[in-house]
Amino acid sequence: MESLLPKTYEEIPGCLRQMTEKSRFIGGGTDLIIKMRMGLAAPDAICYLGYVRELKEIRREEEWLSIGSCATMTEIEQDPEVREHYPALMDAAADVGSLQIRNNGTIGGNIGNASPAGDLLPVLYLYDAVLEIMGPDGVRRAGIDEILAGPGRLNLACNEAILRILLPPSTGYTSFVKLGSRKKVTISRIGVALRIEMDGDYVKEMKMMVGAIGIKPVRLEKAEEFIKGRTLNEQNILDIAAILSDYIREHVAKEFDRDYKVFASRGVVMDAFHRLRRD
Amino acid sequence: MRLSFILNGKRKVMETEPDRRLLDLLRKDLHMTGTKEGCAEGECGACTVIINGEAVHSCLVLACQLEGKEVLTIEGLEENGELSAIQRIFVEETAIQCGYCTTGMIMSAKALLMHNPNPTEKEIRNALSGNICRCSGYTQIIRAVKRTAAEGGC
Amino acid sequence: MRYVGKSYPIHDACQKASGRAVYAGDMELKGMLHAAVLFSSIPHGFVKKLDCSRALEYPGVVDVVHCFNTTEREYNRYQSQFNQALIYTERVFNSHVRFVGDRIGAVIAETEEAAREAVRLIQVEYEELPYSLDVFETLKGTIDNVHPSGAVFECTDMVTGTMPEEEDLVTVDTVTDLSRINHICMETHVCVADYDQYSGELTIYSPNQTVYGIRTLIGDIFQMDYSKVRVIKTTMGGSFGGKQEWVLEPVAAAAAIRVKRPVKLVYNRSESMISTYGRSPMHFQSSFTFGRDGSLKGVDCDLLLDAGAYLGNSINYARTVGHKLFRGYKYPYCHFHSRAVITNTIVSGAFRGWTSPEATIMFEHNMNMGARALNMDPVDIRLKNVMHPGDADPLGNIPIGNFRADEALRQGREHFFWDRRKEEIREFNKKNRRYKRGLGVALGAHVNGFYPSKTDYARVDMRLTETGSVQMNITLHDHGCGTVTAMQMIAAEALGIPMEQVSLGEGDTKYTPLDVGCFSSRTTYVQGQTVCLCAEKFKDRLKEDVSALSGLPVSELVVENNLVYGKYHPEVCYTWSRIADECQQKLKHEVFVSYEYVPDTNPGVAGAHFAMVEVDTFTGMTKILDYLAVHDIGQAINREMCVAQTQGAVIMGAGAALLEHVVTKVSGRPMGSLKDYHLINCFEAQDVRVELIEDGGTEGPYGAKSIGEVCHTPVTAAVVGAVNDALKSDMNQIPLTPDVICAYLDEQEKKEREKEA
Repeated sequence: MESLLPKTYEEIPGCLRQMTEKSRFIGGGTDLIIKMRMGLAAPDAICYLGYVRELKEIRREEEWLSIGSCATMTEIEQDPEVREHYPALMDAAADVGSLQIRNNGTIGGNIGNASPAGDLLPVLYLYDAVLEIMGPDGVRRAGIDEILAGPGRLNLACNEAILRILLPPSTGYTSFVKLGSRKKVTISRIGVALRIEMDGDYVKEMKMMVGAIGIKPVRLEKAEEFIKGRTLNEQNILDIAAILSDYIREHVAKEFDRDYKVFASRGVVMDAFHRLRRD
Repeated sequence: MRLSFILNGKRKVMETEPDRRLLDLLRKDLHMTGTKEGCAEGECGACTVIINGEAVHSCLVLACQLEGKEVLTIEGLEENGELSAIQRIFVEETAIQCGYCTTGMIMSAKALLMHNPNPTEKEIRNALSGNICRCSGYTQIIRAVKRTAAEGGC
Repeated sequence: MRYVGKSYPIHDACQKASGRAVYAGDMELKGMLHAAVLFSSIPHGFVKKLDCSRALEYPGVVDVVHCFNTTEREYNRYQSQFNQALIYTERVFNSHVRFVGDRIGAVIAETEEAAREAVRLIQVEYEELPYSLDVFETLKGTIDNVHPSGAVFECTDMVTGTMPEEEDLVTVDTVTDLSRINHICMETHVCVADYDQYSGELTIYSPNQTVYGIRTLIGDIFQMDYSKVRVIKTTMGGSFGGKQEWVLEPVAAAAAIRVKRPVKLVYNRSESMISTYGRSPMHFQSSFTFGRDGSLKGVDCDLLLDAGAYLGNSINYARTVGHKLFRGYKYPYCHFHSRAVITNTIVSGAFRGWTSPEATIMFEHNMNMGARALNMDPVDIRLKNVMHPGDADPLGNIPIGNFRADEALRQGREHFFWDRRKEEIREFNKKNRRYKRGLGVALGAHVNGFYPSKTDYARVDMRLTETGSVQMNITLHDHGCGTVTAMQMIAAEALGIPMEQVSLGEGDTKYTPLDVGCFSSRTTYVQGQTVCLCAEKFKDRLKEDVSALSGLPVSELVVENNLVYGKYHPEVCYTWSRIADECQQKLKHEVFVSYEYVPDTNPGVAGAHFAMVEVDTFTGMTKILDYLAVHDIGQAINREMCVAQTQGAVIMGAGAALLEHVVTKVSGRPMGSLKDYHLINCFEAQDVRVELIEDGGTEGPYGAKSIGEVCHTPVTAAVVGAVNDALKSDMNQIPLTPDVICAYLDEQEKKEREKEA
């Protein structure tokens, strides 16, 4: 197997030119290595971008936050900018697997793996993340939803790499809660990401993204419409949960734990709203 | 590929395959079998080592990711031919039964204490939640980590 | 006492902490090869053709052993004794494959990687047969041809006592379903085998619970003289019953014999979960009858045990469930019927407690439902029926000895604040819509050895070195819970010398005595007592030797503090070192004693466990808030290890209650990953309180009784009881995962809505 290991930003395009349809990027490797050992992936070359200093950085760029695709979950969780301005991203990063996985797994890997249960995905949708992508001939930008194609699939050429994740300024309150089958070190069964702007006691605007109930994060527009102009009392939150339950009942196949998810959405929605109030 | 990295404080240069797992590099190529394989999918923590100061699964790191990095394994913990404080305290607190999780558990605990010399119980439990012990109820392990912290670290 | 009752680290704790301990998977022998197994990818059928040509061409591959070039002799993986009467259904490699994960062949190569790669290159042609994934499908006749001996096996239909003819009795009928669980020893399954073609000796290195059992089975399969099969017990990374039936050993042996070189076989996690064995799924239908005062009058129980693809221990296991119904409670009538049923799933086998926890999950649920029907407190109904010292196990009329279950229940009720908490929880549940709390109690009882069901026997040898230390020879199998240390403590206590002066190892059929293995919680009770008695005899021997050397009569000699001296002539004083030396030089012999012990008691041993849980009725997640385990242990030998084992058992049993189960997909493919099979981890584990009732009074060493299995016996039942208390439910479908709980709550909500409508 070939390994493509650019050490500097300038070396990346050269490496990308050598990648074929069978080549793979490796972030932390927490998913790819398992697939390779199970015989589900047999790349002819792997490209590891983790030696490029710029791709590990999390830094402010004017009003945007730029996160290098090789930043680990731990680095994201602990970053002061993330903690202050993107708390839902902090929650999602902190909830990924075990500490060892968070120390190793990267945000670029989480996107590239494109798992329906990917913890960061609903949050990246929530914050309208833009991806900076480099190909052999240059750099382009695209919204997360343009790039995410479905389970394990991205709308990227084999020689295109995600370099950075750019988050526009975030306003309002945000939160992320995931429901797994235990509290820590678990795969998401439902992940709810919320962003709310209030006007006094009334909701001015809400965005609600739900992970692990479809091939990509689902935007629950019906709930967003419903809550506009209302207060966040318990009944309204329960009604939002009911909207989510209805959605799951209609759209999730039985073998993907539909019955459980229909029932349990109430708990995870309530927790997500509860977490909004942390500050 | 030619790999050069720091292993337990010493520079190591070796010829290997880019997709060789660190775990195999240690156990099979370097005959350092203190690091254990328990699941090969990052769920049990038995293979935990410390890379650049952070606890990671050696089953989920490839040789091509290791260039220039500092790897610390259980074999690097003994000091002057004696158990280091954290190892000795694990022994003394009967935090060891079958022992298969022990080396990974110690490495996770050590990484925690390197970052946070006075962790709360919750912080300890969070840091060790990726290390499965099937013999105990974690009580003695938590006690050993607390005592190591109280006695000035590992 | 100087040692007994205190706490010491396990004998190899320093090696384990430093990473120097050598497990079988760490071994490297000169010229060693590696094996990887080819498993069936279909649940039922015949292997028509195997094409190994591409595998054999793969670089590093030495040979391939498979169902068409290896002995076809049938065996039973559960066999551990000579001429044991069992039904043989399994081969080293099977051409009639009976589950996804059945062994078809193995590649032997220079490296594990090469062996595994080459396995993928073997082309298998199958003829597929209908398959069954559960006992009810098998009972329809779907796989009657699965074994020549059939698919359904009657195990026992046993009536004990007579049902009292009383009026005004209350009967509760329940269904209990246990899912398949796995031991998840942190050390996956490993075996190293080495064959010396010139001596004809096969050496097997294996982490296991009986070296002699493996010797017997391997000798029989490969038609070898038992003296040519040497089995060495290696450092064991946990067993919990998972390493007492033989799966890898025959494969590694077949490979080593074929290539005449050492071969290492390591199963990864997935293979260990799928292709060794797990605890059997069980389906109980039971009916318990109570008097109005809560006294249990009769038990009627029908068990269908899912044996998986091969019989293994299942017939014996299904029978033994019946035996475990009499270890804790006294009642006049019991009818127990059991069948073991083959399915095309993971093979079933031993699990910690060997049917005690399974029987207890069923039994204690009925006790709870009885208490509910009678409006009684769950602790009271147990106290009403529990056995007391002086009672006997009605099967064989074996006295249960100094059985302190009653005291354990009472002490636990008090120390768990049972009565106060009942009130607090009532209030809490009234106020909380989302979170509901509940209390559970369970009594679990177990045994101390095989007596009288089969031969139990132990031998210990002791010899004195010239430096005054004692070398002990005993066949031990330390699972990682400190058996070696416990025996060292008992020996040091009995001999009156420092622990460091007692040395001992573990089982090796070439050197250590015949032994039935580490089963049935017999090690401390039987082997420990043998150590005690051997030490007494050893001290007698020292006196006899000093008498011969000094001329003083034996009756006037005192053995104390590493010395033997004359009671009336303290100037006649021999150090143990001097005795060893002078025995050699003057008496021309080694100071050596061998002692054989055959136990003739098997007292009851009990644990009363108390759990408080909180169920999130919105998500079905259950949290354990507090847990207390009170154990009737007689005497703790190594105290902290007893506590640590009990805490581990609680986390294990609570995992079985709430989340552990191996799922088999409709295709017959089981899920073999810790990503799906969750254990309770450190973040969620509660600190478990453990109390030990120690008032001795047994034939065990210093009055000790067993702990390792009994501490696992009541756990699942206690946690399930607490969940049912919280939800006022009657579920006994283990595990009570969030899905099961939510399905139940959903059903309840629907019923309520219907009622309202």
